Amino acid sequence: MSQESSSNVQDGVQQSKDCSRDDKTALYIPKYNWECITDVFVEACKDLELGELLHDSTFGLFEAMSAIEMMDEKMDAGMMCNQTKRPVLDLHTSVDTGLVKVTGLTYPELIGIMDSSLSCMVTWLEGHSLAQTVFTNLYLHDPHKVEDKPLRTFCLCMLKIVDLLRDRINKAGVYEEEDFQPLTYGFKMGGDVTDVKVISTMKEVEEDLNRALRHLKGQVQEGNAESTIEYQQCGAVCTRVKFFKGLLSMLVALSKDKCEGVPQAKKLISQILEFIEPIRSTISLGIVPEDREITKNDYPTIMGFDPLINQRLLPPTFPRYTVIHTREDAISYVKKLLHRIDTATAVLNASNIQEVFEVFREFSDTSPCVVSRSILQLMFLPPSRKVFGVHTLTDFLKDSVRAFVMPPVLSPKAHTSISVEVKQYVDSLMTRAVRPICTVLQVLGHNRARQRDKWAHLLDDLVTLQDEADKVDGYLHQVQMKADPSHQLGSSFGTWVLYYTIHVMLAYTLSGFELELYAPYEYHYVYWYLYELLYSWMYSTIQRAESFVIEHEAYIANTQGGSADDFQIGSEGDHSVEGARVRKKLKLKKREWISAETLQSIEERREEYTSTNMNFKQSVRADNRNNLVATEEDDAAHRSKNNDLHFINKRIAGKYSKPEMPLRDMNVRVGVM
Amino acid sequence: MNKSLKENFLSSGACTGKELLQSWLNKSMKIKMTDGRTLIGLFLCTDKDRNVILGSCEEYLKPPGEGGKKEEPRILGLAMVPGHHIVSIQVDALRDVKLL
Repeated sequence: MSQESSSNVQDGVQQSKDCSRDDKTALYIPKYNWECITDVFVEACKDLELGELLHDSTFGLFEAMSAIEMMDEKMDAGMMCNQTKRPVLDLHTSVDTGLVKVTGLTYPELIGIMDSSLSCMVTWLEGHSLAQTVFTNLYLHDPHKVEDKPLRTFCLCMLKIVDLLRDRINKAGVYEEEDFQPLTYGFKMGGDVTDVKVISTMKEVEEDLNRALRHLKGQVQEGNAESTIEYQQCGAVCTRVKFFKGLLSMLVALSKDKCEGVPQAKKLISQILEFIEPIRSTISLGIVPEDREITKNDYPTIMGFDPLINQRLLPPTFPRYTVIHTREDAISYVKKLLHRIDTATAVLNASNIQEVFEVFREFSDTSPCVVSRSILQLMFLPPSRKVFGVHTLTDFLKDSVRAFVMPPVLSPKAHTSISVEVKQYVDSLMTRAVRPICTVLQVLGHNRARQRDKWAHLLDDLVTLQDEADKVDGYLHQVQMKADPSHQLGSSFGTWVLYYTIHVMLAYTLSGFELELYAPYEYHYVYWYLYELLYSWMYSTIQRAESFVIEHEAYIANTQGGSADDFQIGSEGDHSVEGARVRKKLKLKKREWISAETLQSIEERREEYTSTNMNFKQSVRADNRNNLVATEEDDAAHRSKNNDLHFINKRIAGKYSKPEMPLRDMNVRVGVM
Repeated sequence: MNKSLKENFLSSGACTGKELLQSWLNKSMKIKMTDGRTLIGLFLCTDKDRNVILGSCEEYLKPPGEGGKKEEPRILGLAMVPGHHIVSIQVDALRDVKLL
């Protein structure tokens, strides 16, 4: 089907030759009709002015800037100097030429392959692409071509583990470009085999290896010296098979919808942790790479691995070099990861949002990896959008408000006495509160450097929510005045929202220290702000909430004839095991979400900031005394800065600033002692 | 096949070099580089130094059509080729529709 012209070329459009088609439904294959215009082009370009670009109207400077420059070694990944001289063969070619074994693998080979695969996986989890890590293992490109049963099963197991991790991280959505690369390059992840099948096959392999171990042990006891080494090697392979089987089972258990698999996952984690040290001590038994020339993107590997196999798949950016972790580092990383996941499972013990918030905050303080952060997010809110897979969000939020301020309107007995309208107002407020509160928890799931920006955005949403909460409180106040003017109810919902708003403001301000954004001369602004405003507010908010709880409990007992113990989790009349457990907790620990220790530490921190603030004030005054040239502009700037602060905070706090805490502004006047 | 400048003017109805270049804009262009690689893409932009920007660009290591196996091109997207690295340029003059 080729034309006779010498400059004709069939280009790379793949068409299936469907001979059953007739001419009426013919396939269209574009063919190029190349015409050489080199000299003409050169001549024509001379007509252009220096610096003049010839293009059509749809092409702009942005496009011109973002083009990759060819023949520049920093940008052109395909350049010859960036390419390797040695041949890069895919799995099938390597097997056919005998470079890569798929049958009759020895124990040291298995150990080496498994350990190297783990190193690649760990490197991927640290933010590198799959193409340059996990899929440098050729065996993973087509596990079914591997005849050796342990290796084939291991490959499927590894693919499943990678797929599950990727799924968790994607679903949680708390990763950024620097945390994780989600691209899969079209690689198949063993989707044609189920998780259960892979796990059961791993069990079969484990049993085969156990049989071999027993046989070898017999030979060792008979005094066969060679068998000792083989016995150790076989044991090492067996431990690894158990380890990877456990890892896959744990991830499958964690991915269960209603978080019902979490206890099983915890058990599996403690089992897997026992294998870590035996694996570490047998790393040396595996095959190691032979020496080879090391270039920027090529390093020596064992059989079955090739760092350059996926070069052509990489997106056309500047060349990126991936350094694969050592085998020892990889196993240490996995150990820490397992501990972090174990810590994260504690969130299931929380009975309200305030407790979840504390768990998330403490977890984030440890700067955990993207995997554990994602798993924590999904344990709190799985894809089914139910808290711990069980409770609806609005119900959980209502429980949190009850635990915080115990507003009478939310007590179950109140159903008979409150109007439909009031109930609607409260319900719609709770529904509105879902997004901002969940975003607070989601921001805590991001890496610490990225949180500050997100806190700033979140404050907008929280201010709106605060307004709505105030409106609902006002309405409830009116209703209460009509019904029973003698008892006044506090601003329950407003106080609850304010608690979170102040926490976000605190997080934003304190993150400035962590990111080293403040200059030392600015510290006293920040300390003043923390001491005078934020921590004071937090303290008064918590105190107010505590007093509300006492008042409201008494009110409920008197008017509604029940006790606060009747508060139930979930929908009224929830008789589930979970509900009973939490009811019991609420009875025993009514206000323990904010313990005496926390109040104490808040007070201590306030005192700390007071004294630090004092020192700064004194030194600033001393400077000014010496300086004597604090200009009018400086004063005005301070005043306007403070005015801005006041304006923002007043807008947020509204009527909550108590009279006994006057907002002093910080004019540093010349000559004042 | 090198056509003279005048023949090109006549066939495309262009009077100046600039108009000739503009007649080639958005057409498929094949550029051979000094290191032997071939790029095929849409001609988007050029300048006096013959730096060329190609859109939806594909990179072939061996010239496509030669050699036994059909080669999988590397997709580059938007690429700029410095003028001094261009060995030859070919443009897709006429679109030929071939029916199977």
